[in-house]
Amino acid sequence: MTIAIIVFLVLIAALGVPLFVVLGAGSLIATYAAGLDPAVLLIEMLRLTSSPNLIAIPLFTLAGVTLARGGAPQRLVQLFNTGFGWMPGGLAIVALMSCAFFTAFSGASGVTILALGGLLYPMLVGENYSKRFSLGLLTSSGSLGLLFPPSLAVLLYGIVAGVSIEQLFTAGLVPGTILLVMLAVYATVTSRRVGIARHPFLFAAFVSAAKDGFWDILLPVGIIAGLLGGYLTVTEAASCSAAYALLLESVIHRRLNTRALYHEIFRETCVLVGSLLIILGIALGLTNLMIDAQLPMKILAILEQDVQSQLQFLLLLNVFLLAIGCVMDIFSATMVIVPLILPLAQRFGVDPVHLGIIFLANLEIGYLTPPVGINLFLASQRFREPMLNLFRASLPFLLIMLIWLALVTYLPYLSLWWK
Amino acid sequence: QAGDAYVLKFATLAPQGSTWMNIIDDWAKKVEKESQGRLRFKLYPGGVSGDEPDVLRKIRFGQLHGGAMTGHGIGYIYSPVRVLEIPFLFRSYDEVDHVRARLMPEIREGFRKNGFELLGWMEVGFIQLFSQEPIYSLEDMRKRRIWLWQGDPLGTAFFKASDISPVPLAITEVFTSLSTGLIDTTIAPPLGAIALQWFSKTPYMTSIPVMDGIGGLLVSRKFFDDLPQDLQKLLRQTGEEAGNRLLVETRRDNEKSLKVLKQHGVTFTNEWKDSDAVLYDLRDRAAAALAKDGYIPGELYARTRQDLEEYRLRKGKK
Amino acid sequence: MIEKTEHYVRNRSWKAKLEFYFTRVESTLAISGLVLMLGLSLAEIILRNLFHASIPGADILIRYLVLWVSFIGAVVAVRERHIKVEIISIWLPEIWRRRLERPIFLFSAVVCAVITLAAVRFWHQEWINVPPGEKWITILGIVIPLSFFLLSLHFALRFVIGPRSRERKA
Ligand code: NA
Ligand code: NA
Repeated sequence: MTIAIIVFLVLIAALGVPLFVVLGAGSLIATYAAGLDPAVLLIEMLRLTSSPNLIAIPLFTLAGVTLARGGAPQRLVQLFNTGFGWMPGGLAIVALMSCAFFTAFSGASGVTILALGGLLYPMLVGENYSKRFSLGLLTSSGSLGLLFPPSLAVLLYGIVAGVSIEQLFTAGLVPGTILLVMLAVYATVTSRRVGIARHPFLFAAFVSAAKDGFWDILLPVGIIAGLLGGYLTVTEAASCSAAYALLLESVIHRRLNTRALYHEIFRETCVLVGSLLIILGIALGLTNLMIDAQLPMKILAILEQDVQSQLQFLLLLNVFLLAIGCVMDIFSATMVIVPLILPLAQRFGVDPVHLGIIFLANLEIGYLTPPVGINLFLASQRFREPMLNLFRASLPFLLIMLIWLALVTYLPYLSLWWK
Repeated sequence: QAGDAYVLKFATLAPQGSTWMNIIDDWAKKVEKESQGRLRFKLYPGGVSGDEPDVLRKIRFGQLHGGAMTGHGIGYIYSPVRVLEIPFLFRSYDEVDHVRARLMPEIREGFRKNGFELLGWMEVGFIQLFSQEPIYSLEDMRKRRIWLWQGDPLGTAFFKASDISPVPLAITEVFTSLSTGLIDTTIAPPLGAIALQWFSKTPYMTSIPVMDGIGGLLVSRKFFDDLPQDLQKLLRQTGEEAGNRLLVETRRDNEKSLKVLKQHGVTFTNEWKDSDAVLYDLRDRAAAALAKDGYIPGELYARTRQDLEEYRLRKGKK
Repeated sequence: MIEKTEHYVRNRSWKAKLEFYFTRVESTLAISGLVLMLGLSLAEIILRNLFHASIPGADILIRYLVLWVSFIGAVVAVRERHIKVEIISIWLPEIWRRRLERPIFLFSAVVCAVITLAAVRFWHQEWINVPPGEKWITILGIVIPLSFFLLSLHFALRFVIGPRSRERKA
């Protein structure tokens, strides 16, 4: 019976029923089966309002949409072309770096794709990177930088697991950088292979482009400085970015010159954010049902029976966490799974700080795995591409991330060298 | 519930493996054993069921049946109990125990009228100020950016009375905000300051406690009244034992935590410049505001104060 | 990424007009919410940093505005585009995709209607149980039943109106 229902849900999703309706139908069936009141689904939905970083989502989206409409991508293409065009894979590397910074600063809520995707995509395509490579790069970069400070995911793990948050950030530096380097190398090799043109460096052209793009570049610089210097919180950074972007495009670049354009920008933001958060709200309800059925606990009980060595444990842990990453978002997973795996990990002699890095690395990959892959949703909405295409495009990146995951898991030294 | 088997779904913010959760685990095992499996617990620790108001909603719709609540959640069920949390009221645990014992029948009744059975009483313990600059007076406090637990009427009343404008935040955002400087002062029991790692950002702790944090083991009457008499009795009796153990262990852990804090170089500031009269005036104004909002009846506060005065007099005479 | 919202051949039936005007009101509501959210959060930053003060209740209002903006935004998205998996349907010929639209809209309308019923009961319980000082927060929370009601209404309207006329390329 359960299998029949799941097959039915997968089928209607594949036929084009909106995802939130599919998840909603699944949740309703599951509450009925568990003998629960369907009103419990709404409790979780209301919980959206207790998340302090939620407001960052619409405001960063607004900033991203405004910049994209105001022609920032073109100005930045020009600037990067003149500045880094001489490097092989220069633009792809710049894209990776900016995504990593942005994810760390925006709390890994998936905002990166909304705010930067629309900006970077035309830049990459404009530089003759293939559509597929560009989509893959941007979709997978949406969660890059999850391990860098002041990532919310790291903070949450530290609090739930009772591990020092500073230690976690220190531990995440090398693994996070390794992933960046691996992806940058891949990008460079690809750009060499397909023969992306390298431009000679012309100082005059660079200065002229820098003048045009100066105010755009100031935004990420300002945000990073504001956050690192302790002048801004993530949510404040979000509202400042939105205000700055609006001011920039209307006063300095004067690209927003009609009321209709403002209307368009705000409307597009509402629709983008709306189609995302309604899924998030319903997914929270579904997670609640899994917790209620103590499903994760049961899976772990099975896991516990067959494991003898640390190596075996780590292998199974990765399989388990990757599976969790397919169906749960990172924040619910942290709250539910960490308290369960912590005692197990300690039994097999895994350092809790190292465990944290493994856990977060797994769920960083989970952003890319269907059916619940936040990056796939966001990218699908932002780039208006079917999720399957995006998943295919991200496969090479996913592969690299899996290799990275193996490195991080089986070489604890990478995380714990400073201890 | 089919047949004779009952399942009590019970939630708490206390993390798995903590002293609190271990005691609750023991309690669950004991109940299951002594009822020969007729009453079992399903535990949802570590906040997996959400914040306390969320747990209360789930109880309302029958998804959960009970939980270990702190004053924050209790305020949503039967707010007058929080008279025990009024700032600058108690000076020692003796005083707390004495006054609470006298109020207990009334508290039990209050919960019952609001759809809950109080199984056991526990405590978060004395709550102290942790700050990045030393605090010796209310004037110092006004210069600080202090955290307020979002949506807490008691905290709001206190800060309003003391003319401090706090920064309301969810508990999960406190640590980051201490790092970024959005807040530079927070309040917590020593145990909590360590568990949440706030102390690593706050080199100073005021020795005088601001208030005593309360807590209770609660179960909905919808569930409780359905149980056969013998199971009701078992749950009440074991719940009370668990509560007493929680009370003792929490106080001991808070005591231990003070030593840990000292080892980590946290400076305790003992001297307080304001006279007691200033603090008492503040306390009374906060209480008056809470009475006006109907959160804590003025009459109850007056009675509590009187009990306390009498106790202090008697103790002073000894 | 500058794309125009999809164009439709003008459909002058009263149902289509009803849908059009409803969507217009809703998008105005969502946009106003977003503007208010931005304004309030900026005001909060300025007050906090320059005057050590804050607007009472503003942070809660802002969070509920997120809910208003996004859930009403989700209603507007019915007429534009919701996130879909559509692994099969992208392979189907155009004519079959159009034939599938009505059943999909009907199914979506039914699911949203069932959630609406649950949401109404949920909201009612909130209203009864909320402490007096927080009634205004519960009023803000009415967006949940309201948006699911509007979602089912829009899906039902789409079901009645039927598949869109062929898209005109801009
Ligand atoms: Na996933
Ligand atoms: Na995921």
